[in-house]
Amino acid sequence: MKTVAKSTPRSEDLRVEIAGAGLLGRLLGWHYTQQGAQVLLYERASADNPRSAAHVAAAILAAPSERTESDALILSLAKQSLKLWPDWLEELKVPYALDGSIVTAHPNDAALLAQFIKVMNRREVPGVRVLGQKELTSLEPDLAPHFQSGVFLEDEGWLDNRALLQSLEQVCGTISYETPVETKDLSGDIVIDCRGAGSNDPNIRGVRGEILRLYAPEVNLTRPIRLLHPKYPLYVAPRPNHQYVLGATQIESEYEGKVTVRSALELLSTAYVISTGFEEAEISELSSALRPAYPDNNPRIYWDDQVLRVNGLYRCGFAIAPAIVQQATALVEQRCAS
Amino acid sequence: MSDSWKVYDVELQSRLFLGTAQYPSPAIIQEAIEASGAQVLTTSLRRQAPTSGGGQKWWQQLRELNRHVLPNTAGCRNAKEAVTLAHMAQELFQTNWIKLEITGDDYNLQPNTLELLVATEQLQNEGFKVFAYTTEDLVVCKRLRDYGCQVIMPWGAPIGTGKGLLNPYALKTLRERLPDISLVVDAGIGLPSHVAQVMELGFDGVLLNTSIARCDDPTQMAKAMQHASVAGRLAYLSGAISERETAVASTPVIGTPFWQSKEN
Repeated sequence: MKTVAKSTPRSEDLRVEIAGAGLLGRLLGWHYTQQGAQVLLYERASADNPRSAAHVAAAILAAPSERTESDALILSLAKQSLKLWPDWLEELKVPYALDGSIVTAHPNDAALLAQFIKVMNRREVPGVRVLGQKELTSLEPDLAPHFQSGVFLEDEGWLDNRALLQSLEQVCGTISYETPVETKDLSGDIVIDCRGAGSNDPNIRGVRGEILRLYAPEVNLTRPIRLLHPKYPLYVAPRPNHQYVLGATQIESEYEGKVTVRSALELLSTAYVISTGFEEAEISELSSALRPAYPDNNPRIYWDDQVLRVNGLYRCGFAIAPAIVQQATALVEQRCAS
Repeated sequence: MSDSWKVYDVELQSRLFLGTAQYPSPAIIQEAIEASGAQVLTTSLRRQAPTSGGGQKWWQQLRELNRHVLPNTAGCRNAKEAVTLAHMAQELFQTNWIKLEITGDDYNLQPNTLELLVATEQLQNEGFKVFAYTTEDLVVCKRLRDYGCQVIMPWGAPIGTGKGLLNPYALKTLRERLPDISLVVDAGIGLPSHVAQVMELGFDGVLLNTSIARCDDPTQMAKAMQHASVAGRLAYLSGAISERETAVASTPVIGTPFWQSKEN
């Protein structure tokens, strides 16, 4: 975070209070801790039962392929973020890979792949290469043989979200768990609201996502694989030691209950279609969380009186978080300077 | 020219119903709805965990669009599930309208017309106003009418395929045989020309979702669909000419020198 650090006011007396200890809260906490500030984070969930979207997310860095759904803004924020992540992740010792990702579809759904390529071209998304079966299997030999073509997206990758959150916990300041707060009650020199779907911003809605974690010693996939499907467009993201995250459903609901049978079936079917090696995988976890989103599904950073509100990272939190942190801290700096 | 129509007791000017799934964002849904002029919006409930109120925020946003909300039972596989969901929808949206959609086949999402008939009979008896998503089967549609269903929604093609009308002959038959029923083609539309074709057949309306939500510019496409619905409807009301096999000159032939016709 050195790029930001140089120009931010340093003060050992500075007290920074952050509501929400998800991805953004922790990254911002880390930033201000590095400045020498005293950082306090308040988190409604308990330490052993996290509820943040960041904890559950598959954490694929996949803004280019998300361009089918998302605004051009997301892609540009992701591009900035991609320059920052490697240094940050190295420093925090977090496993990650930026070796690209693959989008494919079952031959029955070839039309979806054609449509995907058409949209990528029309929206001029860079780093997109169409793959034949040979290239596909040479990149990822464990992909099931029924995939005849796919798309390689070179500017994509994944990171280990839980390793990142854990690592940030050591350096982001003091987190008070099980402490829901209202930002009006906070008195820090800098107060930042990063509560995600837990925010009381009336424009924020939660969009339910469900994931499945598998341990699959027989499967060796190194990149995120997105499977286009008319009903369940899902993906699998690798983690170290043959762990995989399958995600994520997208339901316009703020229900925070357990994963439903239907969603589990969709996720498991996706795994099975992507690689038959998943047959004997162990199911290690089924989780759900709410992605915070504004009506246009774009993030917002704004001053609400004395509180900086940063929210709405929706589907691409990990892909755009570094750029959001830079913009947020720049806003704080501007205000401190004036 | 006033060309309004009625679904049950509600008078509508627009001929389009819009589904609300698969849009890039709620903001774009709103723009597309405005561009389309649609007055009826349909939404699914089943996956939103209606019993826990998980979808409250989304449903509230829908209500705030000030259109008629037509809750649907997408995702149900039998009459019992659909009836239960209809009751929840009634409570949530304070409406007796229910679009019955009962899936009979997983891959083409063909409606299960057998279960549809069971659910329609029961819900009509309970005072619901059923909008029945069905195949183009005339016998099923007649039975739906006999149960008191006044809005029948045959598919044009399987949901999301964008293939247009696969069986125009059967749809034409439905129009002829069910003149007093509101007929709305639901599913399978891809292009404005498909919408125009539906309206030219004398159908009362068209329900659209994927063709708008998944295209590159939903707002523009919504407008195109709206124009097409108006074009098709006007064409229907205009009493189009019948096709014929030989050309008929549109300029009068009186005064054509006689030796020209002799050349034949």
